[in-house]
Amino acid sequence: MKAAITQYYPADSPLHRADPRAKFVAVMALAVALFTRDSWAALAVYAVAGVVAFGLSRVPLRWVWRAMKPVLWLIALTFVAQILFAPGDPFFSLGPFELSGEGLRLAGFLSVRLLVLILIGSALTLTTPPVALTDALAWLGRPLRRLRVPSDELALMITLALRFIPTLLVELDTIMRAQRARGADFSSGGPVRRARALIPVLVPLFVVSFRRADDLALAMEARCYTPGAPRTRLHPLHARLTDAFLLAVVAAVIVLASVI
Amino acid sequence: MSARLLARAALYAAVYAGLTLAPGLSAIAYGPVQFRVSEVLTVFACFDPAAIAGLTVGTAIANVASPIAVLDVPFGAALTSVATYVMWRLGPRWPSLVVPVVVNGLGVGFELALLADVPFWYGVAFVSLGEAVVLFTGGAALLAALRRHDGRLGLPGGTPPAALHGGDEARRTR
Repeated sequence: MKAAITQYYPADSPLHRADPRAKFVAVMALAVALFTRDSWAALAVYAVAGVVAFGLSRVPLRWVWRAMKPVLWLIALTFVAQILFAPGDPFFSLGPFELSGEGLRLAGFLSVRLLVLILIGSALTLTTPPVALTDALAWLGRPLRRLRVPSDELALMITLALRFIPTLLVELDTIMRAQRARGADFSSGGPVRRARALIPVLVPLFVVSFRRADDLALAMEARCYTPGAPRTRLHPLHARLTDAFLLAVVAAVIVLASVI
Repeated sequence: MSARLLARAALYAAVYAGLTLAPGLSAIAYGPVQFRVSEVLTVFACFDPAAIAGLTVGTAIANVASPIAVLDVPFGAALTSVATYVMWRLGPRWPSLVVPVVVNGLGVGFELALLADVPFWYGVAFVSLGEAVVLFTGGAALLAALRRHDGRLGLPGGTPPAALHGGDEARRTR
């Protein structure tokens, strides 16, 4: 039973080596900036930035394609929305369905923006292992501790959850096979029947997970885990000059896109 | 946050992410009309505060696999934290089941309007529909089951299941 939990592609590239905190801030800033201006020129600037980032990441093209394939429905939806609720004068109409030049242009713009968003996002998710991403989030969330948001505990929670997902998927598989052997049928009937069929799978899964949680808590307490205490890391984060350079380039791209 | 609470929250996160990403179930977990079986887990938030943090983290992890992770991770986590917090305040009552339907419907509807220019209320209707199917069938069954034997699944205040049924653990300690 295999499931892609993350999109990480291991390789050695300038983007893989960059500090995850810098990458996270850069990608978030670009993603927000992407939605602040509705011009093709600004979009072109971000598209170029996305392509350059992808080139630097040394990730094979088909990995990005794999990320883009599932959003084709969203692009199709964009066009359907524009056909059904077209703004401007329609040049073609069939009952409630109308096509207008303006609507098609808008749908095209939104689709390209979506693809650029995925390209920029992939520069982070394809080049950063999940644990590094978690460390970056914990570090960036530290100011929130003043608001009593336990950022370090949340990060530990993510790490623990990532570790248990494969275990639980194996468990889920075992339970489903066991119930099938007893005559359970998961693939026929309407939504209500299917949902009911899942109950004999979910309940044992919950029992198993609560039991694991108890064992885990006991193991943590036995190793003197103290909530809220400062923790050390196996791989401490080190920001370098290249990370400052990365942030400077991203800032320049955003400025360029907002004046163009 | 005690180690016990943290460990339970981590397991909620793992179960949520696992059920969302599980092959066979994941095909219908993203998109406008989504049936996320994992959403039934929000019912646990009515009983256990650890589920608020756990399911928020679980949504964030599950949404990293979404193609539009940049938006889906912060949005999904924020929506789940709001929905589960409200459910915890409402407690194990039937109206709690409506909370995630409304919160996710409005939130994801807004996200779809932002991304694909889908008219807001159409997006809300689509998303709420998928969410309602999951919660009013599986969620309702789970809520009824948990109300009958809360605690027996190892929820706080209850006896661990092994002690009740003489499972592995009881046998091991003998």
